[in-house]
Amino acid sequence: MNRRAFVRASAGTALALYLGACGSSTSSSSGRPTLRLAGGSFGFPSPFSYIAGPGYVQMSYIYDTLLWKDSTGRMLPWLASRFRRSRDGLTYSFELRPGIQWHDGRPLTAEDVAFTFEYFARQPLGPLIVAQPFGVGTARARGPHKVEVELERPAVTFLDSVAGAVPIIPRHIWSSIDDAPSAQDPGVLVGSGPYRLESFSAGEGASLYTANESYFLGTPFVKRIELRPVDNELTALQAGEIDAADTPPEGVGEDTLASFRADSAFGVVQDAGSFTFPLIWNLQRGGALADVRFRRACALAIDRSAIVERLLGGNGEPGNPGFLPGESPFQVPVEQYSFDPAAASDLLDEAGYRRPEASAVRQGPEGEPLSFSLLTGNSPVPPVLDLLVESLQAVGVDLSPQAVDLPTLFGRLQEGTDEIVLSLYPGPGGTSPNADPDILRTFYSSKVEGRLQGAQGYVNHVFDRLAERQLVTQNEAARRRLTARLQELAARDLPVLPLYYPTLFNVFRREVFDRWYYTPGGFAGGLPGVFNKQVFVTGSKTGLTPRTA
Amino acid sequence: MTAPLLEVSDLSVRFGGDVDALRGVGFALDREESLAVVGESGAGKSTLAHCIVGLIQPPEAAGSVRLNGEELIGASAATLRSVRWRLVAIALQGAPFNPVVPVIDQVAEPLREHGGLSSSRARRRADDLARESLLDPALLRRFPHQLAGGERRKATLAMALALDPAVVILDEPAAGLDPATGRELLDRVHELRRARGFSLIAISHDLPAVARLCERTIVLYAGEVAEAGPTEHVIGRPAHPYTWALVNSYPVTSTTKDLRPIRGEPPDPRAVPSGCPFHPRCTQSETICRDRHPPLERSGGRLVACHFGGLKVLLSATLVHKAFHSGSRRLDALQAVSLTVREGESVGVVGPSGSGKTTLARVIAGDLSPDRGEVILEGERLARSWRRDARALSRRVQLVRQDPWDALSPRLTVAELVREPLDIAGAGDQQRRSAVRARLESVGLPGYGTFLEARVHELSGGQLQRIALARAIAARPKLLVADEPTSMLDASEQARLLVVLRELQVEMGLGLVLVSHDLALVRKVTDRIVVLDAGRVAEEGSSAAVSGRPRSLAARRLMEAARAFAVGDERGASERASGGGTN
Amino acid sequence: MSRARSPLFWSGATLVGTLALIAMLAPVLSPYDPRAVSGPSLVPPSGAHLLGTNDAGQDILSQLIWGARSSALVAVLAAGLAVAIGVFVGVGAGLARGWVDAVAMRVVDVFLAVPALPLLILVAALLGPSGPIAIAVIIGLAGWPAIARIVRSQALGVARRGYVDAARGFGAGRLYLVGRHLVPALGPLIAANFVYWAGTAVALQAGLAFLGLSDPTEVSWGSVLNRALSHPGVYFTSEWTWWVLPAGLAITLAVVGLAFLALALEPGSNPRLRRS
Ligand code: SF4
Repeated sequence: MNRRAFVRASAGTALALYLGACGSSTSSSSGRPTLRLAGGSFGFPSPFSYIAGPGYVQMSYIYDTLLWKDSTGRMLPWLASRFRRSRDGLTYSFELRPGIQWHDGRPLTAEDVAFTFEYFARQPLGPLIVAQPFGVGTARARGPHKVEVELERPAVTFLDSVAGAVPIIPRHIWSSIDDAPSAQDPGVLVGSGPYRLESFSAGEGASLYTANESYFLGTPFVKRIELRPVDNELTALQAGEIDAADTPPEGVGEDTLASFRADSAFGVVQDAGSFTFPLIWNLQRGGALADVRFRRACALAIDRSAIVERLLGGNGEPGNPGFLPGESPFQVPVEQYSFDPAAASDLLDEAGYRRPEASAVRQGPEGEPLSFSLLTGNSPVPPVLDLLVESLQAVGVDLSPQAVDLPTLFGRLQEGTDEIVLSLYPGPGGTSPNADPDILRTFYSSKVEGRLQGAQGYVNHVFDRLAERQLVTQNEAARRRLTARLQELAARDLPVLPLYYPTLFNVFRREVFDRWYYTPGGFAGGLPGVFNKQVFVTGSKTGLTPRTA
Repeated sequence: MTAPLLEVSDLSVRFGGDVDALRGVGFALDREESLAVVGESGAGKSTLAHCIVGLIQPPEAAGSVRLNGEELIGASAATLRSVRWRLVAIALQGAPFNPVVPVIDQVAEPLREHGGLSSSRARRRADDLARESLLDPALLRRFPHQLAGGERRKATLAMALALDPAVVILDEPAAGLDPATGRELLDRVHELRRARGFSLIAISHDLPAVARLCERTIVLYAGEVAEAGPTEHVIGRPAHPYTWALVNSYPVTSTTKDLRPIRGEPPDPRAVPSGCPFHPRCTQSETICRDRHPPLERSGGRLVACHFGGLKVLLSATLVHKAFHSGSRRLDALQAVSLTVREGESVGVVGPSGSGKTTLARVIAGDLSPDRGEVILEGERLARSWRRDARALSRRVQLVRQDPWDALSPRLTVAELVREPLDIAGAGDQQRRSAVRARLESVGLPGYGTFLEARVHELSGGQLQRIALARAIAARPKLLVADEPTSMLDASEQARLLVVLRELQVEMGLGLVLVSHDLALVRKVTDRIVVLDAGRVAEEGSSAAVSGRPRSLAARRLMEAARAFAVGDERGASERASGGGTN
Repeated sequence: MSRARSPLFWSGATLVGTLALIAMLAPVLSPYDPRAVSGPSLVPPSGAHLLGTNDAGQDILSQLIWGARSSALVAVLAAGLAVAIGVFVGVGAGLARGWVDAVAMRVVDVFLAVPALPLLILVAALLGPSGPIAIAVIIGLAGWPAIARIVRSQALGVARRGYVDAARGFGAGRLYLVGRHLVPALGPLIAANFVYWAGTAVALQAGLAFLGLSDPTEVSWGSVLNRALSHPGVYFTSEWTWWVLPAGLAITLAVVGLAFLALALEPGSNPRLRRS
């Protein structure tokens, strides 16, 4: 176990929440390849005990959902051949494909679907189980292949995060199991999905999935998916141990990619804006932190464009005070606080934070120094940290960084007592789970509780109200207007400053498999990365039909 | 009860108004008793004798001398005349003979004048007396200067016995005689006394001489009685520090130990020290000795004029038990061993290997705690503890260990080693330096130069032993316990160390416990010897007794080994050399 | 005390001495402020930057020079603390014997039973990122029990020596015995342990920093390595030759140098001292 592996283990499972992909690849020359991808310890792949996004991806090989996305970002009919939404947006009815069988040969029916929603509601599941039927009131079988689902309130995100994410489970297996998370016998892994689990070694993070020959869409194109533990995906790819590798979410410069780009054996796909480093001031701590002039001055003092150039050689986008990255179709122009240290100093002077002498730390009206602790993660420490500290030091603001592991970081974010936080956030654009503009509500609104990351101590009732309204507005144009307003408010009040959005890359061996794509808006409710099973099943970027060799 | 024959009380004599010859002396003498009066020259012995025969009268003399009930101090000339020669006769040391008159006429004079004998009868009687005093009567016809000193002494004796007095006073009876003659004369006095039944006062600084003659002894010091009592007590086991010193300064065959002079000078009778007159020379004096005059009090079967009843007990170990355990085995190293060491005393602890000698040494030095029994040093219980007073007490007893390599830190220089006790005691810098030099030189090592910088691994065993001794002495202990301290020294080095120890005893009243298996060595240095065998005391007694007439088997064995060496044969010498380091 | 010096000793002393000198002269030797952005990112070695710059444009040579200082500080503090506590407890127990000794050794046993490195990582992780002083304290606290145990057994032996009894006979108190006899007698042992723990401290500090468990802005060899190895580019370019390698080499040289010294100072290796 090297440093990286160790850090992952010690950081615990929470890390997995946003270390999206973990690799994939293919082999063989016949077009019916075996893909070797990076593995990892992400729990037992049952719908109730996988760990976070990467765990979900493995689980999704065994279990299917009602709907599923392909590279166009459109919802394809998967187990359901079609669906209908009621006018009020509260009822969805799904028509199941006929003749679908569970791995044990029993037929999949509407009873199973209804049972799934009802069973999930009974189980106490933590936030690591990313696909749960939140907001679903009741689900009823209306015939052998028809299911009706009623929502507690309208939600524009239902199709993405429930119908396209919640795995359907066989009633005949689970009805006799009370405590779902502890059912970890391979015998319970009876799904309807394209793959079966052939072997699994939890400790090593190695597993092997083989194709379900009697899959309802036909025999899957990729015959075997081999997950193997690796330290560094890119080096493992170069060494030929795996067939596709994700770059780390902190981003990479061209120095890293150059050798792959230069080699025609490798292909590269990229995804912008699916991660960001937000700088979060805790307004609750009062003093300068609650003073918007102070926060704006900080923003003016940080040269976000230079940071992207310096650290990533341009493979990223400078942070937008309105939170959404350029890729988001919802982004609107807002105040940018472009780099201007002189203006920052003037603003601070004006606000009464004076420097007793040049190059000293500024002091507030009561003589309290502008010294703050800065909480951040340590796996790894954000490369931007030194630059951030230096930028603020230049205008007389002193930061004492403290790097902690992820569980600690998240724990302290829940407590909400740290002064300033710099973290890595899986969003808000690209293929991330948070690409929907509803992210503005979940990240900033004071009404949202229990989020892992978000604004600290920011309370703006106007913002909160607009954010709630946006969630239930089915009219696209109206929703756009609302989210534009939210972005303006976020930039004006500036409780959070995204420093930059590193670009995510996937590098792959063309020869083995070359149809990789990033699903727009993410799959299964917004999972990032390229390991969408649609491409494994069909061997093509679109549609439902498996390619044959 | 009738009055004693002679009773002296509160007798003081002062000459010339400022010379105190006697101060408050008192004693009694009954018929047929004998009394020795001892002391250094100038102690007042002769003055006392002169007073008893009425030769010194007021105003010089004060107090009372009663002979047969008759007061002699201030008595009339007639009274004195009637008493002298008839009741009390003195044989003075400086011959009182008229040089131009034949001796016989002078011996006969008291017979004619006081005995009323005719001249011829007196001469015949004088001849008889001469014969009784072992003097050839023919010699009496000569003039005094024609006689040898011994012959004159015998003539004086004859004269003193002339009128058969009740009290005979002999002033230095054996002084100036060769040992054989002196001994013969004293024996004669003894016989005569038995035959005639007179009482005897023998005045002498010659302790052994008078000790043979008299049942009782009084010790005079600076005109006062320091100690008085039965001779076997006073001379045999002196109590007063002065008597102790006096006894030790005499060469006699009854002790095997070498001579030790008394420190200091006898007091000037014009300026007798205040308080106890002996205090300037006493090794155990304290403030009270200077301030208050000690009364003559009963102590241990005699009278002693000392605030402390005589010699202090430095160390007393009582019924000490000590066992060692190794695994399940138990070794009783000491069983009910008792040991006493008095001021200035040397005690030898001898015994074969494994007899518990070293254990005893360590116990009495406070190095080991006894399992049972107790060790009292100068009145305080000796215990190993970190308390300040216990640490101060432990400084008073020093153990010189058998193995100098173990006892001396390999990391310190010679100077640091010797200085260590002074460092710990917090002595001044100058004092430390001079002490280092003095102590090293006293044990025959250079006290300067590069030797001071040497370390243990550069020195020989003999040098180390001497350094160990030097530093033990540097601590200025009151009791020194030395465990085979000279085992690695050659004979001359050993002799030198023993001299150093003797000087220290005189100087500081140092108590010495010498632990060794070498009886020949021990008997040279010690007053008493304790023989240990298998952890018990096998025999204890004076050094002379134990080495001369050993009673225990262990002592006899040790003595045999020692004797073999004493005659110098090869076997004995090599035996001793090879046995040197073991115990 | 003169002592035959082995080649081991001299090579260790040279290494350690050089690094100590560098640590001491860091402000003079260092061409740049190690935290300042002093050039473009990731420039290879050049006249301006002898070891190039890292991804943030900081001068790597300056970071290594200041890292020596941080390592030296941790080494001295940690070893000093471990030795101070260890000698205090060990000598105290050896001198007191009895129940004090028994209790102290029981405590030592308990501490020894806990594996130090995982404990350290746990403590560092729980306490959050720690500066060099905190790390030194943690390492010092982890190191003392081993020292206490060996010091105690040696102290017991020394305390039985005649010269210690003799000093007690002169009325010496505990402080004197410890200062004059026990500590000098244990000197070589203490020196060897000091050096050993200094080496351990350097390695552990580097390890903790490498794992990202130390203060992220602290300039140390471990944090240079940590930053280097979390930069994906080092695996695919020559960056590792001037970023990873020198940092690793610095750690290796310091640890090896201290290990050599510790070995050379080990009392058992010197026959002259065996007798004492
Ligand atoms: S101890 Fe005192 S009283 Fe006794 S003899 Fe010595 S000086 Fe005199």
